[in-house]
Amino acid sequence: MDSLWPLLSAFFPPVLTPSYLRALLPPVVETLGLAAGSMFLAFLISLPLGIAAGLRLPGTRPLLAVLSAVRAIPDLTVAILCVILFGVGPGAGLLALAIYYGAVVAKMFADILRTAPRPPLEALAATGARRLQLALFGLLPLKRADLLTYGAYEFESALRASIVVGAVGGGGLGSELVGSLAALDFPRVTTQLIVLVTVVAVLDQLAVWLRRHPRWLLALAPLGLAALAAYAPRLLAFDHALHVFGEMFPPRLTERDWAALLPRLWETAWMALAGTGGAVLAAALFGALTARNLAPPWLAWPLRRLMEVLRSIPEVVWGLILIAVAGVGPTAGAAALGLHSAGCLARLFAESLENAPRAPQLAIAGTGASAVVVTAWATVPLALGPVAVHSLFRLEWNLRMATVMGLIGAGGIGQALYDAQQLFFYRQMMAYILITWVLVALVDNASEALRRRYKLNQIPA
Amino acid sequence: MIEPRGDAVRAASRSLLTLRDLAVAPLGAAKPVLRDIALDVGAGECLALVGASGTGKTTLLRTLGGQIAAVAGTIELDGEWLTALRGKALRRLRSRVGFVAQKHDLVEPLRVHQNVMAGALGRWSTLRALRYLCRPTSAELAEARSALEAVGLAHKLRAPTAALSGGEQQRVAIARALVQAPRLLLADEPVASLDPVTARAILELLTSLAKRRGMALICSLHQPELATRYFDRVLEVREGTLTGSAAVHAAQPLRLTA
Amino acid sequence: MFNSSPAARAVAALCFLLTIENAAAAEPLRVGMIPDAGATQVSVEQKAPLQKYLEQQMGMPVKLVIPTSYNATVEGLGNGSLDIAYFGGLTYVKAHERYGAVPLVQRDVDQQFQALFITRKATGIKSLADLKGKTFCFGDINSTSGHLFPYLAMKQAGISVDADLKSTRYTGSHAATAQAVAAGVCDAGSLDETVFKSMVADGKIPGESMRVFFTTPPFADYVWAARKDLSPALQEKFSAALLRLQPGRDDAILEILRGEHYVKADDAEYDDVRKVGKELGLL
Repeated sequence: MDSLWPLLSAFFPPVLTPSYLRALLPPVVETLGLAAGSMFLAFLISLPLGIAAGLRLPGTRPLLAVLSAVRAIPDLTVAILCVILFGVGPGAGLLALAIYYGAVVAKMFADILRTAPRPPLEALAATGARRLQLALFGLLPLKRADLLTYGAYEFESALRASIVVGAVGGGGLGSELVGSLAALDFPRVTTQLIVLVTVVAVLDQLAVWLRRHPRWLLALAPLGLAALAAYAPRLLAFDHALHVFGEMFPPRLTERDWAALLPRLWETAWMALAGTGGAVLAAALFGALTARNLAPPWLAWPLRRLMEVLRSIPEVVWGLILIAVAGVGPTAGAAALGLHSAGCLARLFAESLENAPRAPQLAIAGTGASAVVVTAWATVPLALGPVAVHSLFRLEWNLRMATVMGLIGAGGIGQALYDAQQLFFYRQMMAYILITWVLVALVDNASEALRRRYKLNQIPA
Repeated sequence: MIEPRGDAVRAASRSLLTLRDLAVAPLGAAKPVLRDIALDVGAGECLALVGASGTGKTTLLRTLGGQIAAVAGTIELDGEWLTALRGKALRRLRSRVGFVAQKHDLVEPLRVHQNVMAGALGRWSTLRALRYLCRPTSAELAEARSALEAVGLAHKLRAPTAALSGGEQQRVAIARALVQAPRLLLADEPVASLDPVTARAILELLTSLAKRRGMALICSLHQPELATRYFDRVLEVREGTLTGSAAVHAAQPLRLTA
Repeated sequence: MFNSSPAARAVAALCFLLTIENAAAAEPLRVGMIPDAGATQVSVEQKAPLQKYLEQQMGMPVKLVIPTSYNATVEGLGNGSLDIAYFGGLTYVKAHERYGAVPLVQRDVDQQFQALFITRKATGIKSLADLKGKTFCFGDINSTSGHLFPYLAMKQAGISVDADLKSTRYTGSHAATAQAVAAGVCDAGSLDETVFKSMVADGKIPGESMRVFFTTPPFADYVWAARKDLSPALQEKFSAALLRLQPGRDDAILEILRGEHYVKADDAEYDDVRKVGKELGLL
């Protein structure tokens, strides 16, 4: 690849002048504000919904079905809709994140609170406690640890998402990145990536800290409120938004679109399969080279940092970069999914190798086998189960992400959605949104059924 | 009782394993868990270690297996000093020490024949070990089958290991030790998680195989009545040292302070 | 409990920053500039002189917004998130049709704009007819010079985009088209002439190995337009600010806008674009 070097060198050196770093401060603050504001709103909506589900109030079952359904619209798709309806800038981004994460968090809260042990609640109810008291003194204390842990985890995801919604006009660092990429201003892109990786790393540390000190999540509430006040979409424009929304109905595809639908869906699926496949292969190698029990520290440490960079840059951002340097198309989309997934999977694979049961490995070593043979005969086979589960989860996630990659030019069904949007063919656009929605929901359900059947589970990592 | 073969008897005349002044402190222990251990075991001899849990039976076995280093004293196996060996030489010596644990020491995702042939890893080259995982030869499979026949599991040759019962898994672990053809076989509570009938069958199998193949067997147990029934000698580990040694064959059951 | 911890102080500082941002953003004039490189340098830092100039001329805060797509820019004028936006010819027509966008000013070159067809010399393409069986890159699907008029030119030369070309793709921007052609991703492409010239001048693509093999007839392209209910006084002020720009005196601003002289714009200039857009099914 003799073309790779000039391509890479175009990104260096990054622009690190004080004036540019200062100019990047407002977009960074905007991105943080987006995450804080939207999560504040999301928690505000989801806590009562979750409690209602936990108390098994009548009517919560259909409500949960609705939440699951909303959750199946990818966040970037929601963001595109919000940008059309409420305008460019952080207001639309905030609303999109609040809707998406509102549904995600509410569903999660409901799931957690519904599994609260019944006997203590029934005992409390027997004392004549009213519903609100039941919630405040029974339900919430029982599940407080779970609520806070998962809350901190979702906050972390929202931060990454807040960078991504900027790419379709949702404000913050993402919008700035799209600008620099469109102008092929790669040195500034590098600067933005450095800022992004740094911010994500700092926030990762914060999230880890928050998981240990979860009550500090509450301290973020004033921050969320301030962000909400700063970036709230202009409510005056709601009648306009309704009008434009009306233009999207009834959804309709032309005959030509129907004919192209299957190849487009295949392109989307291919993107996910190729990206995940490549990531699994890369992660198998890098997972082994970064596992503490297999690799020497001088090798594992730098590779671990490299994997961190890969995964702290979201798929969509990788996609924007690859499309700018290598051109539009599903190959760039697959590579983008692959790069981010490789970073995530490498860590999970390394953990699987490190957590492989010790006794069988000692037994194999005890027969006089060398370290390489112990790895091949015991460590790797023992880690294969968790590795397969992680890979399947990644595939599910990437199928969903692949529908979104098209929105930034990577082909597939998302590209059709984007083209229709750009030409203002809104009824067509809505048709694609609905098709994507149904497909993602189907994949979600299939994967959930599979998980229940094989009793697979994964702690968010 | 199975009559020991001639060569086993000859080997028994001089000591196969000799421990002198052995002291062991596992990682993290402030003072030695075991001290002043002295022991001689001959080839074909079956020795049981009894004693309350936490007294150091497992630590002693793992020290003999080379998994824990001794802090003082010597271990001599077959004329070689285990305590002085490093790297390849240690691995070679380890290949002559077999180990059967209480449970969880088979690689469950592998097939039965793979777990059995793991016993051969000490004498195989790395390439051969990797090749076997994908393409075992028929001669190698025949070896696995004959080891499984000795433990009565030949029909499970290609079964997934995870599908086996606890007793069957223990037999596979013994078959692995047979393939290894060790001079010394260590067994750490091999029957603790098995029902009484299976437990007796496993101990019968272990001791008779040790006799037949001229291996020294050291086995920790927490049921004294099983120890006296199947083993030549019973030692008690108590407060970090070995006490009470007696030949139990044909003698009345030993009184044990447990 | 919130007083001593550094985390508490960080939270307070962020709240403060957000409040400042909010206060500074008190009803500014929101100006959207699409990052198509058609006329603008895009980093926030590089646009700062333009923003300062506008604030000083208009006597009010101005916020420059990057809308990231033509669609978002048009809708921005409709839903009020933008007051003034910079459009290409086709998107202006759409904004006018959908939301009654009012044309304000444009560069003199925009009234007689041309699109270029470019290729690498090595491909041997010398005319539109040679495009048969080749791969081709358009810019943004909504671009006048990157898509609409080149499409028309091919149609008039008897080339069917669907049937005669091996494949086509939309790169999303003029700069990306230039790079795609230079890198051989596409055999040929069409784009804005000012972008091509400035990229060659800046050394971003090797001019000596590229060939311009067709230039379209002139059409009206880029224009600044206002939301229809933006007060006429503000519309007037904004137009005056750009019309007042003079080479020699305002070079820093003119370089950002990549122009020299500004003139008043008129909706009637776009009748041709409107006609072609309808003809090709893009409107």
